[in-house]
Amino acid sequence: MAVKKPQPAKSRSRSRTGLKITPFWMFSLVVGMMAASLPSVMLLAFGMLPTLVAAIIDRSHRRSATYCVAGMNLCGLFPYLLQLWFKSHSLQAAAAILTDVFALLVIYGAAAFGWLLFVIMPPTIVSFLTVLSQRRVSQLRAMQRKIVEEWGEGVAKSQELASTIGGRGKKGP
Amino acid sequence: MRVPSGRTLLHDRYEITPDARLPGLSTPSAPAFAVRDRRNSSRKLFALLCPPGLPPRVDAAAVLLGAQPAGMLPFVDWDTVHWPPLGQRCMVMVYERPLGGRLSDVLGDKAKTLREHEAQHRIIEPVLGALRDLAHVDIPHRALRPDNMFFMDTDRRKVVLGDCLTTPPGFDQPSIFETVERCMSIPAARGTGSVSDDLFALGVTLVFLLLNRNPVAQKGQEDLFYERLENGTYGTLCSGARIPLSLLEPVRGMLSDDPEERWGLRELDLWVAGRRLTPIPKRSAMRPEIRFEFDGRAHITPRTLAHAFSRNPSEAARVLGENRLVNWLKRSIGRSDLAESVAQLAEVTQEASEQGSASRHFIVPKVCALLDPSAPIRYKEFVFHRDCFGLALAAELAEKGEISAGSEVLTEDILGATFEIRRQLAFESTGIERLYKHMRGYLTRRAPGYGIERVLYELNPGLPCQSPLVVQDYVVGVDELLPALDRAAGRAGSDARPVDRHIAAFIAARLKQDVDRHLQTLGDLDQGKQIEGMLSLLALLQWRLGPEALYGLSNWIGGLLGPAIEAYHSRSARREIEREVPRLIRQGSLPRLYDLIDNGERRRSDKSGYESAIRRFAAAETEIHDIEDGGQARLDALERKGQQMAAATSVVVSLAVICLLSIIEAW
Repeated sequence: MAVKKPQPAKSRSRSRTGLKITPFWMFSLVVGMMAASLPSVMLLAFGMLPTLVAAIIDRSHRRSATYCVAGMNLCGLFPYLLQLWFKSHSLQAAAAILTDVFALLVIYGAAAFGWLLFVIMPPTIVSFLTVLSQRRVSQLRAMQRKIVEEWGEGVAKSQELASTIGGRGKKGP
Repeated sequence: MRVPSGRTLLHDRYEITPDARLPGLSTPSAPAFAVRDRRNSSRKLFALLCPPGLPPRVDAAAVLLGAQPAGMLPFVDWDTVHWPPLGQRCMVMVYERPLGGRLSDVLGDKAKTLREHEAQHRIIEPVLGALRDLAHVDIPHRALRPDNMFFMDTDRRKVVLGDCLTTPPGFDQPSIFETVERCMSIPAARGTGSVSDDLFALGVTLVFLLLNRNPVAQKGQEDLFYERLENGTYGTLCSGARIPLSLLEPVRGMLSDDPEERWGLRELDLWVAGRRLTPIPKRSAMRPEIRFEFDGRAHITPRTLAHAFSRNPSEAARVLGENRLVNWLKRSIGRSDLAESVAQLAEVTQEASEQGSASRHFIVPKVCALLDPSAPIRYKEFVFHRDCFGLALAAELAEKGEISAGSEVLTEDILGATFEIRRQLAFESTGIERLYKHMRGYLTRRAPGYGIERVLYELNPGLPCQSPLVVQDYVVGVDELLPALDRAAGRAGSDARPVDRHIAAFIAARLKQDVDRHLQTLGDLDQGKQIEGMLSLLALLQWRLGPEALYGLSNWIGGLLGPAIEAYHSRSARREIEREVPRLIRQGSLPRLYDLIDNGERRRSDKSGYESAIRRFAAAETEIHDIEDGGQARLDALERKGQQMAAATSVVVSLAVICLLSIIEAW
C-alpha cells in the first residue's frame, strides 16, 4: 500500500502567509494610513522620492545603496514630518512644506548626502583594510623569520618554502 | 713502585726481564723469560709470554691457580703486563722453574733412555696423578708431549707436566699427539677435549720415550694421516718398533683410535695397581675389493675420502655429480644408507654446478660430514672441532686480519647441516647446536654489537678486544676497556670514534646486562643518534664499572658531540648545551655528559616546541596566502563590506536623528 509522503509544515505556512496575507496587509496599511493621515502620507510620498529612485536603480542583493539613501533621506524629511504632526496636520501645511524650496533642498540634499556616502565610503574602507592586511602580512613574515631562526629551516615544510620566506624577509614587506 | 729499566712488573711483585730469554723452558708458541720475585729473591721462577691474538686458557688458569694439581709445574700467577719489545700489553703465565730440565732433552741422551722398568714409576704414575687431579677440576691438559714435561728437581726424580694455559687446547701439539679426529682441525680449533685425549698423548709420549726417537719423523703429514686412518695410530707408530711386552697393553689401550675403547683413568689406575686387562686387538680399516680413486690416491675408507674431498672441493663436486661414489659406497663398502644420503646431496650438487661453482663449497662439507661424522667441520681451509668454532674464528682473525670463512660457515648454515646429519646418525650435539643457532641470530643482525664480531667474543671469553684502538692494551675484562680507551684518546685521530664494531661487540658480549637499546641507537642511520648511542653505551659502562673520571675519553667524545647536539631543533637549547659541554668534559664524567645530551625533559620540550613552531609557521603561511592570493575577489568582498558599512552608518545616523528630534520636539 502506497504511503502518502507528509508535506513539511513550514512550507505550507510560508505559502499561506507570504503569498496571500502580506500584500493584503500592505494594502490595508496604506489605505489605513491615507485615511488616518493623508498629509503625512503625501509628504512622505514626495519627500522620499530619491529613495524610491535609489530602490529602482539598486539591483544588488543587499540593497546597500537603497538603505544608504533611505536613511539620509528620512533624516532630511523627519524635521518636516514633526512640524506637520505637531503644528498643523493639514494638506495645506503639507503642500506648504513641499513647495518650500529650502525644505526640498534639505530633504533632497540629505538624500544626496546619503548617495555620496554610498559612493565614497566603500573605497575608503577598502584602502584602509588593504593597509591593515599588508601590515598583518609583514608581521606574519617577521614571526616566520623568528621561528626559522630559532627552530631551523625544518619548520618550513620544504626547503623551497623556507628559502622563499628568507628571500622575502630580506627585501622586507 | 719503580720498575728497573728493561723490566716489566706483574702485580707489583714479579719482575720479568724481556731480555733474559730461557729457551730451555719456552714452548713452541710462548717464549720463556726470567722472573724475580721481589718478596723472595731465592725463588726460581719463569714467565711464559702468551702469543697476542690467540686467547689463552684464562678460565683454566683461574682454576689451576687455586687447585695447584700435583704433577704439574707449580703455577704462580698470571695477568697482563706491558711488554716493551712488542709495545703492547700481553698475557703472561708465571711458573716455578723446573730444576732438572726438559724431559725430552734429558732422555734424548742415549745413555739416559727410558728403561722398560722405569716407565711406570718415572713417567706413567706421576702423569697419571696429574691427570687425575686435572680431571677432578674438569680441565684437560691438552699439551702433553715429551718436550712439555720437566724434571722438577735436580736429581731428576720428579716429572711434572708443563704449561697448558698459554695457547688454546692442543695448539702446540704435533699432529701425532692428537687423536685422528682432532688432528684434522687447524691447531687453534682442536677442541677442549677430555682426559681421554691426554691419555692418547701419554701413549704417544711413551712410545717416543721408549724408542728414544720419533718413529714417524720421516713421514709427511698427509701420508701419516692416511696411514693412521687406514692402519690405526698404534699400527702406524709401532709397526716394526719394539715396544716392551709389559708396556704393550697400556700403550695399545691409550693409543686406541676408538674413543669408546680407549683406556681411561680407571683402566690405567688398574694397570698401575697390577691388574692386567685383556689387550685391545690391533684393528685396521676394512679393505674393500675395489678402492676409490680420487685426487691421486686409492681410498679404502669413507673417512679418508672425506678428508680428500675437503682438500679438493672442486674435484669433489665433480665426482659427486657422477654415480661412481654412490655405487662404491653401496657395493664395496656395503653402506646402502650412506649411499642413499650421498645420492640425495649429489643431486643438489648437480643443480648447484649447473647454476655456478660457488655453491659447491657449501655442499662438499655436508658430504664430508656424511662420510665421516666424527671428523671436525670442514669448510675450505677452515677446519675446526665442533666445540671450537670461536677459537677457529680467533685464529682466522689473528692470521688473516679478517673473518671470512668463519662468517660463511654460519651464514650458509654449514654447522646446522652438519648437526642435522649428525642427528640423523644418532650423534648427540643438542647443546652446541642450540649455541650455534643463537650465534647465527647474532650474525643476521648487521648493527654494531652484532655480526661476526659478537660471535667471536661470545665464544671466546678469554680473547682480548681486537679493536685497533685498544688491541695494544690487551683488554680481556670489560672493566679494563674504559681506561684503555682513555689512553687511546691521545693516539686516536680527530675523526675516529671510540666505539667501533669490535668494541661494541666486546661490550655486548662481556657486560652482564642487556645493552640492545644502546646498540640499536648506535646502529641508527642518523649520525646524531649514532653518537648518542655511543655515548650512552660508554656512559653505562662508566656508571657501572668506573673509573670516576675519564678526562681523555670525555674530551674525545666531547669533540664528536656535534651531530648529537644538532639533533636538538631549538638553537637556544643547542647554545645552552654547547656552553655546558666543556665544564662536564673537565669533570671527566660520561654519565653526566650523556644526561646533558639526552635530557628527557629537554628533549620533550624541544619536540613539543618544534611541533608548535611548525604549526605556527604553517598557520602564518596560510594566512599570508589568504591575504596575498585573494586578488579581485578580496577587493570585491572589501567593497561589499564598505557598502554595508555605509548603509549601516546611514541607518544608524537616521535613527539617531529621528530619536533626537523626537525628544527635542516632545520636550
